[in-house]
Amino acid sequence: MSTFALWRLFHRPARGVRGSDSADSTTMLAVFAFAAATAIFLTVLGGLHGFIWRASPDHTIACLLDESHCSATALAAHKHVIATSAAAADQANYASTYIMLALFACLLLLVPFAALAGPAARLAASRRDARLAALRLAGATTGQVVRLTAFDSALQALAGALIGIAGYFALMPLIMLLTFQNQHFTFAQLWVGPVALVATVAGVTLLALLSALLTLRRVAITPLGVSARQGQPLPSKIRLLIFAVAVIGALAILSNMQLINAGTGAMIAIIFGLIVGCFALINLVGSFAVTIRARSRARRPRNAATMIAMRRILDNPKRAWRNVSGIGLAVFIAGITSVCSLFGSLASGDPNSADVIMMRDIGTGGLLTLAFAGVLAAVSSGVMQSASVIDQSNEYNMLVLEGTDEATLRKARFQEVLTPLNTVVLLAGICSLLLLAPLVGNAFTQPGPLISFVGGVALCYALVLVGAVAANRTAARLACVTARADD
Amino acid sequence: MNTTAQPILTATDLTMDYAAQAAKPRTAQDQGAFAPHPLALNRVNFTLHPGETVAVMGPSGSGKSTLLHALAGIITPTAGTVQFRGANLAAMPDAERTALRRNAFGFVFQSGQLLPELPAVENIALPLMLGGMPYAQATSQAVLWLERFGLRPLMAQRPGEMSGGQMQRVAIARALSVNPAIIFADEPTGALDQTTGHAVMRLLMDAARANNASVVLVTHDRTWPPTARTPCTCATA
Repeated sequence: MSTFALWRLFHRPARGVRGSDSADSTTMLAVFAFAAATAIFLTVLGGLHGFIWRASPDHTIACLLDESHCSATALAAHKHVIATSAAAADQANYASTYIMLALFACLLLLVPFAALAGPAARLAASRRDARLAALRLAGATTGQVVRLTAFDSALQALAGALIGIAGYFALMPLIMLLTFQNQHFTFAQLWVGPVALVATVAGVTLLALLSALLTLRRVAITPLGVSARQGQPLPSKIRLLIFAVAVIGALAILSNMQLINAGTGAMIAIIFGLIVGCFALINLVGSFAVTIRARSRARRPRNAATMIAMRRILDNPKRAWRNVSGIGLAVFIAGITSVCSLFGSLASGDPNSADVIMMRDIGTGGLLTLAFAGVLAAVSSGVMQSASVIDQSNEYNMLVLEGTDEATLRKARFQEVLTPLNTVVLLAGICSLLLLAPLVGNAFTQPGPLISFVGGVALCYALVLVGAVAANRTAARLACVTARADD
Repeated sequence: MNTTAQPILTATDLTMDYAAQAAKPRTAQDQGAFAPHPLALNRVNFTLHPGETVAVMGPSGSGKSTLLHALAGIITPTAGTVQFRGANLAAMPDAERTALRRNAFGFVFQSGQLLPELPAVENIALPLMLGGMPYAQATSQAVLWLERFGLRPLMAQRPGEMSGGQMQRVAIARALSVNPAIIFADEPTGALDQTTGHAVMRLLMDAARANNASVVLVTHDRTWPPTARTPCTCATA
């Protein structure tokens, strides 16, 4: 039997079959995750396209890179505008910086984007363990089972990416309201074109396929009962040492630099290195930090909900960390954005000068990137939390039967997200302040950047909480579908 | 056992029709669900006295678990009433029924009722903490139960690190930890071999008797428990 025939067998409409609701909704959650990621990715790509459109005389990349590829009339018109208008000339000088910054935002968002694909694929594989195990028992090969699940995941990604295109169009009018380079974006500037759309849909589907295959490598589906998850040992303690050495080393290097005096290219490289480096560093020690916090709370839990939540975190600290790690990146972006806003407000001279406009635009772009990173982190966390609740539905159902009130379970699930979330915000906040301090001097002692930083972090925090709570409630409702027990 | 005393639990004319409980028919094909069909429970009457053990027997699909769930207030029957100490379970708000299950009933299922992330001592302490007891006191009481059942060495072990028999013993300790008036046991030895099953059943009965708890036991095993009254032999519907 071919994999496709097997897939069709499992996707026939099953009217009135109890339990199929949760599988359908798991699919919906995964599709939603892919849709959100695609919409945000296309929106950021649209922004990048907009800056290229503005910088290039005939609005093409080829012309931007090499003037010999430009249309002669467009190039002549462009040169004429620059020669006659000082403002246009100023803007042309900064055009490449805008493109670099937009590219930088795209690269930054690739991290949470890729982080979302993994859990979405894991979600595709969840709740199918028993079915896949039964298939193996019936004689299906490991290859068939893996292909079946990967195919499911790829289809969900495809559906999500197509919905994401609709989301991109829906977001476009909102982006058009924003002002960059003292002008609003137009549809032509934000429209990435059909080739980019097709490439994005194909890319998202391929990414999901690869993520599913990588995920399934860790889930050995045996014919005996449920899939046997291979244990995940805690990372080596050497990581703590690497973290400490890296932070001290970075502090020593950064103390001898002054970001404000660096050239634009160097400044962007430093900021990018700082954000990605910090993100990598806190991921290095994240699960340790979560374990330590959960252990301390599990020692004398105040109530049953705390006990359940902390034990669940300790059961798999890596999973708990992954649920919220995306917020770490958002915290760093919030740190950088708040400093950029300060520089923007400090820039003296004509408010319409290209310098001042660029600093202001960096602040706006930073806030936008922060919002997108926050939304991606929230979706990622919500999807992972849902997958976790659905996977644990049997135990939670049993607790409800035995008289555990729903409020206690809700509280337990909430704390399961809140504890690692607080840890990541604290860890990323301290790292970000510590490493930015040598570069920006006493900027964080001033109320403006501090309020901006705290506000940005609070926004992401709230987004993740809302996402997690909403996903929790939905998943819990689905997981509590009662099975008929008339034997 | 004192059968002259007032019954602690009574059920009158219990009827359970899963098709009627389902959503309203949406298509012509769904109408089939409302054609004449067998009921999971058909006007069942039941009484349970304090300290009494009742075995519910019957083939698979005959409605044993449905009866147990209806008696414990887990599901609401289509018709009929269940009264615990004179109070109608169906008339209680859900929160009150939940509290009743937590404080007055104990449950032992075939498997899977222990939380896999919690060590044995915390699994037993959990219902006590849900009732508001502080962690230190709840775990101290849980340790006493573990000692009583000879499971003290398993205190820090999680369900995945225990055998099936050990898990069921911990589940029994958990059910008894709240000093329940009634223990509902749904094929508690169904996943165990005969020797271990009998040992677990003996432990359950002895512990229930020592705590003066009544037991409603769903079982396939006609030989256990030897002292049980068997008022309800469910037939395949």
